[in-house]
Amino acid sequence: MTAREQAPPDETRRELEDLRSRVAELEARLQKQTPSSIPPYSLSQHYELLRLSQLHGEAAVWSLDLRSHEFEVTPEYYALYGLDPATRVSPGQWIESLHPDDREPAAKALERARQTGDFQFDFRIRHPSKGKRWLAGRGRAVAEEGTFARLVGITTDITERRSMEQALENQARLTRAITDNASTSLFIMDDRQHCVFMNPAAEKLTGYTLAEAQGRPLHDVVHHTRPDGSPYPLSECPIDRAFPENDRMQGEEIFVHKDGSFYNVAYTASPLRDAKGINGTVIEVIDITEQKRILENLRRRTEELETILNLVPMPVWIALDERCSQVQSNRAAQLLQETAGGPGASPSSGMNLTLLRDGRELDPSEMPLQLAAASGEPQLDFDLEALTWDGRKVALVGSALPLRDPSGAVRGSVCALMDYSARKNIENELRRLNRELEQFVYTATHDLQEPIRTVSIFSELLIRRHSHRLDGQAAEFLERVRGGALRMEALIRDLLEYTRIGALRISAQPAPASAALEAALENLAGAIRSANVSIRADQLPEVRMDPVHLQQLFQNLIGNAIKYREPSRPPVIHVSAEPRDATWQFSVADNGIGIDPIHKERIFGLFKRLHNASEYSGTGIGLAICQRIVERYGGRIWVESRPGEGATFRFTIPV
Amino acid sequence: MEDHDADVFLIREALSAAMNAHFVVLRNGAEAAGLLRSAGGSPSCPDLVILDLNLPGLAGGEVLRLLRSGAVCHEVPVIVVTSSDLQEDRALVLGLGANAYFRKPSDFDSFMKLGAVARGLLEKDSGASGSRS
Repeated sequence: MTAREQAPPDETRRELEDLRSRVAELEARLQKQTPSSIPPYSLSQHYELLRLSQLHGEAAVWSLDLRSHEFEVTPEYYALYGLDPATRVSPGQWIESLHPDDREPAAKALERARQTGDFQFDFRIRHPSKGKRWLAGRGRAVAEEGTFARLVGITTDITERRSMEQALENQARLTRAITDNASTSLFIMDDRQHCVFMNPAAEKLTGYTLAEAQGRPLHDVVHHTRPDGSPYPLSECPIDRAFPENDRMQGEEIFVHKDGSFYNVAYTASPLRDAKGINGTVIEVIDITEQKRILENLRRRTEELETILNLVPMPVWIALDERCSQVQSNRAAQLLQETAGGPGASPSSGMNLTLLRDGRELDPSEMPLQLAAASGEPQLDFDLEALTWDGRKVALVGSALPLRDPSGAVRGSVCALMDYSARKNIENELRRLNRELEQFVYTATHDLQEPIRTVSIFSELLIRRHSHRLDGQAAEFLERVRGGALRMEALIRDLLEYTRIGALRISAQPAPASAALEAALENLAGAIRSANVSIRADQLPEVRMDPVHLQQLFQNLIGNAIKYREPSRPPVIHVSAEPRDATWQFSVADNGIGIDPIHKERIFGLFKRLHNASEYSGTGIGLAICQRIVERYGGRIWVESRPGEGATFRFTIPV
Repeated sequence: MEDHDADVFLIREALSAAMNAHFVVLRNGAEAAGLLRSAGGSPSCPDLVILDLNLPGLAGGEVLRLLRSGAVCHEVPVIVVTSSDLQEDRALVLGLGANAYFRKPSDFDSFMKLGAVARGLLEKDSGASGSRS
């Protein structure tokens, strides 16, 4: 039941009922006096009766002659209106005494009484001492000679009742506003567990209007079936136990929507009490389907992450507070701690390791977790070693990051390490093998020099000292032997140079590139002069590069530019450099024969030549050497060209 | 001291063209070291040692070290000949007390320059010590 229907306080109600029953009695008597059925009767008799009937009350009794407009009233009338007892009362005077808005309705009410014999009118007056009052007039017409001759009635002050009703109405409106606007669904069940009320939120939640659910057991409306399709008996429903057990019930249930879908709810069912005791249940319900879904997603995500965390071979620690007193770790971390701790080591929750940086043991405050939490700064890509119980060192690389709460304050940290001992061993082994291989290539190449030198020198001697004893063809063959030997020597020399680039240490001292260019041009002076080459060089920067290497680059590239010149035009070579993305980009541009772009990758390969030796001499190692040098310094080299349009070789060297 | 007949021939050619000389050819490191030790009692130290860096048995560098640390003949001028053009090798033998470093070239005329190097050393040596054989 709603507040709107709530009864006024008992005392007032009793008084009202008293009054009502007296009026009813009077009405019953008057009823007998209707014009058609009742003969004329003694007005004074009746008047007296009325007079007596309200002796102790404050009701005024009055009588109005509908023909003469003579108006008679009891003394209470004067008190009720606050009139001087000497006042001459009349219907006109009565209407004048009313609130202006009530005057016209009053006249109409009188007119209606004249027609129907019934007078009912509530109206406002201004009482001289009590101020605004609400009065209620009730009357019956008395028939004489077949017509309504006289209107007899009582008037009572209903101000108190009206203000109480007003208060109740306000209260009801307030309650209504609350229940209408509540996001919580509210249901009220009566003592038979039947639905008597649902607020709009409840209507929306269930899909049912109040009209559809009213008078039916609420359980049968919203809670009749379980998600598995089986019926949900009322006897098992905890919500419906609140009333019989007179106890507040709380919990989660699954309701059925009007459309048949299920939804999760959290409910509170409370017994509803009035003056007579418990007479129903009020149920507050919140839809938690979305909340459940989010929680379930969160649970799944957490489960997945935890599984991943325990699956990855990287040891991971998570500090749950800023001082890293509470630390969680994954399986790999526990494994590492056990390995480092040796036999009998118990898995520890903290970052239980002896860590070394450059051989020195870290203080607790220097541990990555603590460092990240204390500084609030990411600790990235550090190299550490873990010292094991038997003195071994496990090479670790890792990072640690601070964790922050929504306000940005550090609330902990995470550290992930990677045991790369195995990789480091392989790297070392690879480096050793590479060194060995380079040494082998170098030695082999070096040793090849001896015999080929012998061949070339002795074939020369043979030509110089014994040519007169050789016939033409023998001398020609010998020249070929000598030519082959010289070419092989050049190959071996270049190959040696190539292999040696890998072995040389890199100098980090900046040196002017222009000096390296000058040295290269000096070595090429003969070729430049004989081919009549014009060289244009822009201002060149200083670079962190061994001058010998840079000279070698310029020498090879300019040498190539001269070698592959276009015979029909005077060769022009332009050397320049410009900064680009933290590197210096050098360019050596010529106007020579150019290179077909399809060859632009392979020309940098070892022994790759695009022309045969009779066209252009060369070992096919020059550009491979250039590439090796540039890559050794972390740069790259490429060519931009089209056949017949010259070629531009570019290389970058990090600033 | 040289194990390659071809190079022995070329060295002979180069030195003969530059001077009158008597040659003793030792073909491995041990032989060379042994001779230098046996020369301890004899006064006949060679006037010049041409030492191939790449001797079998005992490396030329080792021979040079023995020679320089020995009781006799430790002042004899030494020219190290080699086909290596590594800076490290050059620095190594000069550090061990070689007087000159000659990289074996691959044309005859260049090889003949060994004679001039040898003569220069001997002239400097004789100028310093006053003895000449």
